[in-house]
Amino acid sequence: MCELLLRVTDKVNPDFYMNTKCTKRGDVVVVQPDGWVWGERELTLPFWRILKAPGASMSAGETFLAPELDTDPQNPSRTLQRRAFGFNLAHPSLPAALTAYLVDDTRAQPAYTLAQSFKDTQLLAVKVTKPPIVDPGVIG
Amino acid sequence: MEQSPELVLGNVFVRPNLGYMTGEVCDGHAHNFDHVTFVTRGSFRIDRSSPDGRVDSLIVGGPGSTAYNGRWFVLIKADCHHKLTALEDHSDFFCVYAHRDPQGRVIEYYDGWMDAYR
Repeated sequence: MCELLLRVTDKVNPDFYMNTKCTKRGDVVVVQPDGWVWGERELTLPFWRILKAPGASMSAGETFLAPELDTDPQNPSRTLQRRAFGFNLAHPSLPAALTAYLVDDTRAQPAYTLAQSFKDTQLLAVKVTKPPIVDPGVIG
Repeated sequence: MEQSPELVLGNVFVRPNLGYMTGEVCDGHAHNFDHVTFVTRGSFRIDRSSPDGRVDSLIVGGPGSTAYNGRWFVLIKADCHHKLTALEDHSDFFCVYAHRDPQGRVIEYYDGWMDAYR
């Protein structure tokens, strides 16, 4: 019941703090309902992939969009990441055909459809919590 | 009133609402789940409209406020429409929510399901 736009290569910025805000490999950029009409760039650019998960709910997919949040009100972080969670592109449960799709930068296949049996449980199993980024400007 | 970042503090989610001046209103709204509101500075009138039709108002004052009566926090039940009006300058309140998974179950960690806090 959801479709995910996934980033497969890091977006980078030469500024350290701006770079922490860029989407990275494994980040889900957006989640849309089944049948979404993706744009031409989303279907063709080499750093994105589209995963269709007809067996998974929008709620489960949208948990990938949550930002990293501060955990210490006394010391607000400058390195909070745009996404707190990532899609583990190397998870052993992913089928070989999906792995091949993820590495194909030609986008010969614009999107990949997961099996109906790939439900919320399977989707959340490939969700990983991204570690916080240590601020090099904070000593001690 | 200042926009303050929301926080994950261990197994709860905290939404600060800071710097309300007298008369400023946090517009009426309802949430998907129960949550607790703590008034830490100043005081607010909380107008509530429960799903069962009950309507009431209560004054909640933070410690140090002239309105403080020993009760500086209130439980706001799910789907209860509520509005907060500041009764004095520099009033603050914090809303505290449990983390929940997409099935609505309480969990001990931030899962990214933002509807738990809406």
